[in-house]
Amino acid sequence: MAALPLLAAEKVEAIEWSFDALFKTRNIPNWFVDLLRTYSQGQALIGHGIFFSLFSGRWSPEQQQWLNHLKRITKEFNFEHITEHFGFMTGKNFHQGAPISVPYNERTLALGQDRLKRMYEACQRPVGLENLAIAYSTAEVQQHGEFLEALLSPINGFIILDLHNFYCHLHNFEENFDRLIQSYPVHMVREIHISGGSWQNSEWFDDKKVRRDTHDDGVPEIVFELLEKVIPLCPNLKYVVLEQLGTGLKTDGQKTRFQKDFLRMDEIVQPSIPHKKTQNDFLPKQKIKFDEIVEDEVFHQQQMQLSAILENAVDAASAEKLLMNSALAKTDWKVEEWKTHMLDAVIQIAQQWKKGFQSPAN
Amino acid sequence: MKISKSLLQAIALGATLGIAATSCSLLEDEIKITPNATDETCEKENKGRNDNNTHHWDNCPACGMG
Repeated sequence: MAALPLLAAEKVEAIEWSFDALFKTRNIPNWFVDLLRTYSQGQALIGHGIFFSLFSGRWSPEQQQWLNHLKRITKEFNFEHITEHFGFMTGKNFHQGAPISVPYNERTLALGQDRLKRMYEACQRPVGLENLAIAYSTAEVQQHGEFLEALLSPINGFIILDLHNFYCHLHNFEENFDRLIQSYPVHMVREIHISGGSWQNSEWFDDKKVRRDTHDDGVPEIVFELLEKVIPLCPNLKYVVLEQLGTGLKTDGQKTRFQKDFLRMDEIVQPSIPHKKTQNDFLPKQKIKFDEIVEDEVFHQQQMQLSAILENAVDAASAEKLLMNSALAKTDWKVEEWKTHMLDAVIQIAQQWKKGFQSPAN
Repeated sequence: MKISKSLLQAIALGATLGIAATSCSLLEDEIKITPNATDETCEKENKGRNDNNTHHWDNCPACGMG
């Protein structure tokens, strides 16, 4: 309902649909499908996956099912592009948990590149990845953009630059904007997300709070400032999306704030449109070659162990001890360098989502 | 983008009052996608699984996991 006045005023030029979010929901209202059809026919529908779990070390039947679903849904709707999240899902079962980061090395690069090729093969559309909000260490934050570029290059893919996620990195790792943005391949940014978030108390962060990407509040001023700074840097930007959870849109005040945020976003974006001629279609420049499905059993076992620790740890201190005595110790996971306040945040996220997404009504 | 008046009304009604008509098979894996179909099975599932018709269509788990 919060978006209805914006739709009626013809302010919404494109919509993004999480096409895999309704696996447990068979009954979809006709108006929802008609809305998708309207934007699909207007070449203004973009798809945003959640549950593929790009970096799972072991290939699962559910991942093949996800690809099959993607293939079918892209025949039904004309998506302009398809995206997923960086990371792997915690939890023992597919469709559960939250996206968690992985080490940046040749093995994870091979895993991610293989999965992205399969995504492209299934949808035959430009494929992109979103930068992750959660990170374990400063080095990881500083290398995230470079690793995204390496992952996406074989398919000429693109980046969703989520500016609230970027802001989380700036705040939680006390990074400088100019330095961090230079580490990102901004020429690969085709889509930007903006949103709000929340603050998490942490006894391990020098009396400061950890910024969480919870999307349950209005867009903070600093994210609008980031948007103004970043748009001119991105020559191939085509979409800017405002995200907010329905749980944060219950009161009239919240709905009004959402509409104001959208219009503020629109004011910032519109001036750049007349000059915007994107140079990259983000389709592969050569035929995609497939080998055997890439799997890494050792990595899979490490992921299972990490998930179990995160989902069951009493607190960050006990999780640190468990990690130091786990198969992840003294490996590329570099658990020895993880910030305790971020481990605390990851524990809370993993424990929040370990049963999967549940609608408040379900 | 221009949205038809009838669709805007349908959204307003659907979001306010709940789901009247549903597209049963949009996300089914093994059958042809027919988003506008409402069949007997679908109706039964409507009654059996979604009595209060209060699914939150605006709760996108892609957002807010971090």
